Amino acid sequence: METKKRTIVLGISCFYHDSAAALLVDGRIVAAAQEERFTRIKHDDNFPERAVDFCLQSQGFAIDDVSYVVFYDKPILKFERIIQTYIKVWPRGLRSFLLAMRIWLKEKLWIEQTISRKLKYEGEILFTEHHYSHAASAYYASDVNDAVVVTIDGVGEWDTTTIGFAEGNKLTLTHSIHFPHSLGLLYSAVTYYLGFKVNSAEYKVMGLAPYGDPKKYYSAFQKLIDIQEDGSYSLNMDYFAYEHELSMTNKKFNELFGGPARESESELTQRHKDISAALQKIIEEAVLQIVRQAKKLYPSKNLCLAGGVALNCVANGEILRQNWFENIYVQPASGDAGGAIGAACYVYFDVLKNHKEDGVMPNAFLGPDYGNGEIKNFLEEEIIKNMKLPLRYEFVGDDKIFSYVARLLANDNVVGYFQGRMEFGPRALGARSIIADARKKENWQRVNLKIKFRESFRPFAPTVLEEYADEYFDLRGKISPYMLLVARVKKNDIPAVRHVDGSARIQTVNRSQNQRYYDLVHEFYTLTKCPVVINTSFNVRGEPIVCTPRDAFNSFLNTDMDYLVMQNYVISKKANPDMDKFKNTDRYLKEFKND
Amino acid sequence: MNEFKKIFKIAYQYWMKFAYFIGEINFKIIFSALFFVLIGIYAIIKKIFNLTVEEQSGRWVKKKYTEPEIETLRRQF
Repeated sequence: METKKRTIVLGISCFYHDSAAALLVDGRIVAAAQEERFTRIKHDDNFPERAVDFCLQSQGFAIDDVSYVVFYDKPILKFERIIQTYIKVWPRGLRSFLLAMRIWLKEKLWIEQTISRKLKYEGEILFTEHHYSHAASAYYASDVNDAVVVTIDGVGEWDTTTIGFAEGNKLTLTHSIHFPHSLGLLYSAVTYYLGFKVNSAEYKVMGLAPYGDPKKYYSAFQKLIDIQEDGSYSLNMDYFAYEHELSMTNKKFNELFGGPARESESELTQRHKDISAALQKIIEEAVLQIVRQAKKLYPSKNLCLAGGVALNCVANGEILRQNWFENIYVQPASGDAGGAIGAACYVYFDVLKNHKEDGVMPNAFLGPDYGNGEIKNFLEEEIIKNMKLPLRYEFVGDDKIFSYVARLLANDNVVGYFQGRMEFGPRALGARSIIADARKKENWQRVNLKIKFRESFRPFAPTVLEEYADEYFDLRGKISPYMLLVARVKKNDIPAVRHVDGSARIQTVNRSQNQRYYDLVHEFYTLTKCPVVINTSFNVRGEPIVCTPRDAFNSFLNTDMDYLVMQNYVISKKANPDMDKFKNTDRYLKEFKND
Repeated sequence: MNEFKKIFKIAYQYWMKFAYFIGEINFKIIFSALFFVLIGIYAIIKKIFNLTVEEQSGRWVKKKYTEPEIETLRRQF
């Protein structure tokens, strides 16, 4: 009997930041991963060879089985934008021009050849538009059949913001705002000014904002950006340098904000906090106007959001509070990594005209997983035999593991929780997470300073059982499985996840999405009557989220985490006093660059 | 024989370093010239005739609809 040939589409995003690969098989995303998780270089932008290998090998495919490889943007259009920009700013921009030409001529203009050569692929290579990739990553991953689609990011080819609609297997972007006017670049410019790493630490600025007074610098931001009633906006380029310099902002920008850019790692003053707060306020206003305009143009009850700015969960929370939509779907990997998913989806549905069904991407657990056998082998061979660490560990069966770990949490332990397939996207959702008791306020500082080694102002996100979400948070009946909505905390008994402005970035969890995480939080609830735990990514500052048992063990060894739970294996620091001899936190932290 | 190989290998390494150095200088000279001449000519013409690009005004631009077909996706533009 002849079997139907499967349609296998490999999406790739790379060469800017957050390189990634995603594999779509017959309309389902079956695997996706960011290159950084394998190379251990945060936001790695190199060609995602290892991520591609993982996607294919985990599903038992070879590169020859792939029907199409799709790159997530159109390089020549992007190159045209760069040349046009140098024409516009000439005679300024020589240094930036030389740097850009070196990269473009060496690498970015040869993407088709790079894909063929690195993957040894002889089939069809396709190119989607950057914002179509973002839009498709949100719409096709959602379980709605029509939607208003909004994408906002730094810049694609020319577009920085787009509005469109989608129905069935047809996605159309109809309106866009062009470079250099960009909410993403405005956010990045201020991130740069505040001494954080661009394209990396924007979320820190978002976390800093609640400590500041938005009124103090609001008028300054009004000079930077002009937001129109119809949601369009323009930046006053007199204050920005990114069109022609290697820096984001210029002297005039410094004068407007009362001083030079903050040195990285120097003290954060109230002025910096006030600037963050004003930026957040103006971004929220702009995003709301854009979404309002989109709703006016295409009155659907569903909204799909993507692009780097869609990771601004505070702005997403504002959209939620407007009650304009019944369903809001934000792609969990809204940044460029998610473009790999979108590029594959766009080809499969829009181009190949396949019918859109629910469940294209039912969750974000698309990365590698490691079974009990592999974990035991790692502990025995790598740790006990090779490293010569006399490790004591225990195996706890599925019937007891969740109540066991829940008791550890209730007894004030911080646990590294390594379970099943790794998440795709920037958030840890219970597969590669550090978890702790949300009722103890001191856990905020403890996890920040002794385990994550990061700035003390950074807040922690709560995971809440979906059925108790509305009791604890002002989510208005919505769910937030990907930690992409911020809402007010209603109860006072979870101080460790309540930010200074009374808000929290919420993850709701149900059993069908993540059984092993849901069961743990549920056991914690049974024990304590609190359905909320702290959930933060399993990594230290500057480190990509852990991927393998080795990464998890290294992180556990070199931090003050109390327990490591990898599938059913439990390792305790107290039971292993010898671990201290192998600990070298300083050396470990030096492996990763601060962001 | 091995001694010769070793000497040639060292010479090759130094030659490559030198070639890289010369390449860097060439690159900077050629591309600086391109910047000031080619880009410059376009820029001056644009400035003289005031050819500003309306799409870069920060207002909504209507996106041109392109039928999603394999042929259009084969293109990198």
